[in-house]
Amino acid sequence: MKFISLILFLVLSSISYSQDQEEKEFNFSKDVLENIRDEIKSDKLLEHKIKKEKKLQEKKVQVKQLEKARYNYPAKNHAWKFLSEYWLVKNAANLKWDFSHPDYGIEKTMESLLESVGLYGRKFKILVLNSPIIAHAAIPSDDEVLFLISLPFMRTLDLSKPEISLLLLEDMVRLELGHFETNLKVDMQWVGSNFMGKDTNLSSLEKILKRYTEVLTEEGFNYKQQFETTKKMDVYLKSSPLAWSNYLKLLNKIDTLTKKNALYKNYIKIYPSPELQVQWLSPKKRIP
Amino acid sequence: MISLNGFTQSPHEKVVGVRYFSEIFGHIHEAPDRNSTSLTGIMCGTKMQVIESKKIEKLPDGWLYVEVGEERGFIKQEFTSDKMPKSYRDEVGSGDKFCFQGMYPKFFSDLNLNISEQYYWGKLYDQYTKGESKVPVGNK
Repeated sequence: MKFISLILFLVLSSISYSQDQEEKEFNFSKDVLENIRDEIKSDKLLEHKIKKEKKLQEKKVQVKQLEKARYNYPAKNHAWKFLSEYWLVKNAANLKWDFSHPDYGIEKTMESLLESVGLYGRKFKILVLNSPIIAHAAIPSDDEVLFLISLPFMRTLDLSKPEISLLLLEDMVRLELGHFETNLKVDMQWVGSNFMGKDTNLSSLEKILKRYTEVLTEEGFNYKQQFETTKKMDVYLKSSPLAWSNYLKLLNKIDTLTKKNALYKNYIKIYPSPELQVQWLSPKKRIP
Repeated sequence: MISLNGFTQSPHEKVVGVRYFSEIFGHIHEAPDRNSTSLTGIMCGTKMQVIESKKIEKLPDGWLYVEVGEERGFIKQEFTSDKMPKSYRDEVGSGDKFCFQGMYPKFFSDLNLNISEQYYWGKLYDQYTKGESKVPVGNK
């Protein structure tokens, strides 16, 4: 009996203790609730949470921007090199630039010519064509000039390196005066833009390539453009009498070729006209 | 004998560096000559091991002897970069080398260049002769 009473006492005491504890815990939570909130604030947990959310948001924006950037058209400073190379690749069979040939060393003479006329730090590339389809030309290529020169043309005229360099300089002048781009007459609005959600504007691209061919092989440059180019050459070469007289001789040589060789009769349609260029360069005769 | 990248290297050959192709397309040549046969076509960003070999007696200036995949051949150093060329994901400075196809991935893939066009594009860089007029001393 004593044993049962003892067990009963212990059970009752335990129940009463746990009730007291529960009350105490409840009271504790209620009292310090504000303190805990302050504590969280002082530990910058809230600030950390806001920062984390902001970072997440920024990351989402970045991902979206990157996804959009995948659909960029070439920027203006990357477009011309691409366009010229794309045109050369598409017309490789006609232009015949992929053939074995030695290094002609034109670049060294060209560098010297540019330096002698004060055109410093000018980068260029020369591509030799094994076709008479384009006698010589300069096409844009971002921060440099891309020269095309025909091997049959060089051979027919038996051009020396200084003469080839003068022709290339004339092409460079023409290009830098903006005549090539003016004559292309193409829509370049797409350059530097984005086409996310739209189809790639390949038709504009095709049109540009077509215009490259038309300008360089059929239409060429007008008399006004040729006059400006020749006059600028005159200014550049004035400081070097030898180069100036070589240029005049070269134009005479080309003039003779275009009049005698049927293969190059199209030349004057592209670069009108060597005969007039000689006249523009020649000093005016004074009446005594 | 040391084995690197599936190749058995003899003791007189060693990998002396890593470079990345930095033009749009290109070729690894059989000989250090732009007119030599193409062993394989490569594209921008292709990683290549630069090999120093006693078998190659005189490498012309500006050429590298490299290993790309299963091929070993020659490439002009000017077409390579010591760092991976940048893409649209990177900030590109004015002097930075970048891959055009990496910079404009959707536009470039939509061109759907065929094998022949890729081949010619690579040959184009081989055929160029480059030049640059000097800047007078003091004006640099």
